[in-house]
Amino acid sequence: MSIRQKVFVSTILLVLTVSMVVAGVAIFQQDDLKQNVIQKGEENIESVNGYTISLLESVNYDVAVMLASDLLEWIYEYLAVCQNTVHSAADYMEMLYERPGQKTVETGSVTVLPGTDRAQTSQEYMQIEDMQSYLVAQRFDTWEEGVAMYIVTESGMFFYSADTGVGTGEEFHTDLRQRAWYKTAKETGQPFWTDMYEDSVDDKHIISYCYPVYQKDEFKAVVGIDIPMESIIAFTLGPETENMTDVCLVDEKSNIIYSLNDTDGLNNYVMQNSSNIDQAFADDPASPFHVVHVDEESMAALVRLPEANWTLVLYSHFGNVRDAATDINQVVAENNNATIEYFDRTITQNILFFIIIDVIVIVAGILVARRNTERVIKPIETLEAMAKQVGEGNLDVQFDAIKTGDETEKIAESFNNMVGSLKEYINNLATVTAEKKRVETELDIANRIQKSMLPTIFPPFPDRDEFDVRALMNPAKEVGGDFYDFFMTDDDHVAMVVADVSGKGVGAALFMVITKTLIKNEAQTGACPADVFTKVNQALCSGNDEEMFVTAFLCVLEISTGALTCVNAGHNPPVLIGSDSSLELIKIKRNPALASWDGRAYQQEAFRLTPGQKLFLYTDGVTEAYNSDYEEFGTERMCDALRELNSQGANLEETIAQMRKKIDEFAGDEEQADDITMLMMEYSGCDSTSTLHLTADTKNLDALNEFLEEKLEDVGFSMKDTTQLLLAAEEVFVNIAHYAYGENEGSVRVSCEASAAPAHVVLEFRDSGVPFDPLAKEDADTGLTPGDREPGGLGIFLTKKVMDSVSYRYENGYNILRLEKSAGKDDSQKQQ
Amino acid sequence: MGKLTIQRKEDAGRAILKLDGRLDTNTSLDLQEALDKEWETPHDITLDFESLSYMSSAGLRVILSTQKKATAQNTDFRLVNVSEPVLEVLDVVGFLEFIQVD
Repeated sequence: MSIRQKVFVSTILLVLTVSMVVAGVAIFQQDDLKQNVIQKGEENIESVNGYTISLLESVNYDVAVMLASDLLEWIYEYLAVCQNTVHSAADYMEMLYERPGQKTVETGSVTVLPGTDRAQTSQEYMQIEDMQSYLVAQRFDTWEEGVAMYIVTESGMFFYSADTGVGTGEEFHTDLRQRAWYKTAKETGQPFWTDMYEDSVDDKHIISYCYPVYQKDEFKAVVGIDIPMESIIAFTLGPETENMTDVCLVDEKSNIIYSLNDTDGLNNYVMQNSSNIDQAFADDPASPFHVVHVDEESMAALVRLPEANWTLVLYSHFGNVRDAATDINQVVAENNNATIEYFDRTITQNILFFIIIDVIVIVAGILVARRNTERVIKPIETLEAMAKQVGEGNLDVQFDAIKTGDETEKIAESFNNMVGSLKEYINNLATVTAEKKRVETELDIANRIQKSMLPTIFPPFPDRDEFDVRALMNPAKEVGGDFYDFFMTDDDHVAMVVADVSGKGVGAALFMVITKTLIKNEAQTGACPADVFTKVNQALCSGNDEEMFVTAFLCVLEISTGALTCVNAGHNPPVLIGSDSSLELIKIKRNPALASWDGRAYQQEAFRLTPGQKLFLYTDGVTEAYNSDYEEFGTERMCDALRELNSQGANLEETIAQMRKKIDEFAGDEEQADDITMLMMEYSGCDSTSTLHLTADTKNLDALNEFLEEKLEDVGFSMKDTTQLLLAAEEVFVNIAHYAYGENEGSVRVSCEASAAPAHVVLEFRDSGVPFDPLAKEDADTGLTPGDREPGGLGIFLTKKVMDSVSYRYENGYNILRLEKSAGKDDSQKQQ
Repeated sequence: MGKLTIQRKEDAGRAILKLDGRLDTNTSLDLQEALDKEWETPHDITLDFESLSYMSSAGLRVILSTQKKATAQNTDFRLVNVSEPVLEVLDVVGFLEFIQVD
């Protein structure tokens, strides 16, 4: 993913996340609010409903009871007032009857019943005339309309409190004395309440109270009062209570004789509770009124007057209170629903609003992110393109174009500086590289010189059967401080040395060169190893400002005898390997390392090798090779490997190669830390009686002669034969010395097998010089004059002449010339 | 062994070099050197081989070159008292044909 994509995507993600979270939270809260409102609204409705109803019910009942009680009292009082008014009028009238007429009155002004003789009534009228004004005075002006008081005398006079429509002094249209109430009052002589009856004139439902009036024991009149039920009701029941109250009048048998509204509730109540009504008055006869609770929705208030046979029942039901509550609830619920709906609508709008805002924010976010990304990335891309050009090698790119004023510009500035530095650096680098190349070349040369200083041609002494040497040196760095060396100090002595210069690199290499040269120089003088080291040590110590030192092991083998003289200058003890694979560390006296102790006399030790023994020299690079666990290869592993390889019959070359491989395997991936040097020598023994090794140099001619003379001494050759043999040997040897190795040094092996009776000798010359068959050359022309003769070619010619047979062969890299001669043959025989 | 001594005598302008020992590759150089001195002034030369027991091709070469020089300078060069083995060597290579041996 590119930075562009990363920045863009992360910005978008941020915008999306923030907007989603904000919208989510808002929507969630809105929804929560909505749910709350709905829930609370519903709870409100329920609680309002219950509370209102119960409160209203309880209030209503109390109010209804109070109201009913008040009403009953009012009605009772009202009716009692009516009764008392009648009583008072009757008492007054009886009093009037007790006195004589006070004044003369116009009898014509009295209303009389039909058939009445006014004249006969005048006396009585004079007595009771005041009753007219009394009744008028008792006009129930304040009373409800329809309440009327009246007096009907036995004599036929009629006094009436209200306007009857009949003019004063006229005759009334009905003889009221024939009415039931009048007759009942006259007959019982007791006041009483009539049952309700319907007024013939105006259909009002009327109850009346009648009181008989006596003068002494003579029945004189009846005083009565008519009370319309309507007026009682109008008086008692205001418009407020009209809706909740019904009124009826029941007789003593609980028959409804009047009902205001004739409702089912009241009727049913009366029908079902007639006994209860009676029971209420029977239980508490002192109280003229009772309130009876009927059920949850209704109650009855009862009132009964003395002397009355009826009961007035006020029936209140407040079921409509519940309706009112329900109405309230409905209103509340409606309001509530309206609120919820409002909220719902608002919330939905809000959510929609948030979604729209969200979309706008996201779109805006994308646009802004793209723009910002573009603004940030564009310079980076430009930068990248420029950097790529630089990468392709164009160092003239200028990064000045990027002017963003931010980090990118700083990077561009840095790039500019970098490119500048790079240019400078590259210029410097060319110089430095050239210099480095020169140093490298020199190091390489040093390395090659160092390598070339070590003998690397194997087998190094192909003409020597008595011993063989193999060696290896792997420097850890380009040029190492280790070295090995081996060389013949004379024909019978081979010197071998392994050394480790302290430190590595060029310094160590230089010191190594010095040390190696010194050792070889000293050893080749024929000095014994201890003297060699003593002298080398002295030489190295002088001017050793770098305080370097060399551990070294030098041994010189006398080939003919197997005598091995060793000196150890602080070096690892070499290993002596027996032909039976037994191992022994050569722990001879350890002298100080070379160059470490000026003036030190080194001490050597000598012992004798037996044929088949091998010597293994090494440096600490072998034993101290370590693996990734910092575990050293160690002497034990090395000895085990030597034992194993020897018992497997590995030769020197294989042993060294396998040892190197084992060290590598052991070290694994660890880098080689130190130079690894190994030198191995095998001693095969020497048959010194028949073989001679010589350096191919004419100065060894005497040694050859000595060797041959000794060999031929007892064989029985004549003096002449001996001389001829020596002559042939010289010619061959000199030929090899002059031509086989060119300018180089080489060696010659001469074997001589001589046998007596008859005396016979076979001489074999072996060299590893350039292949050359001396016999192939044409014989010298002996017949030429001295001016024509060339000085060469005579030697081989002579050899052929004096020997019985001469043969040449080239075998395994060796020129082998075989000469044979038997005693007593002369030239004539030979030529035949 | 391996030694060669050269004694020089003069007799009426003739140099007589008496060789004692072996004339081989190494010692022939000594003889060559001695003869080179003689050639500084041309005169006759005699090599006395009486005490010479051995001669190899190297000696032959010295004799050959001396003979060539003597011929060129027209002086006399001869060998005297040559022993059997040495004479044989001279004979084998055919030097007796042109080298005067007394």
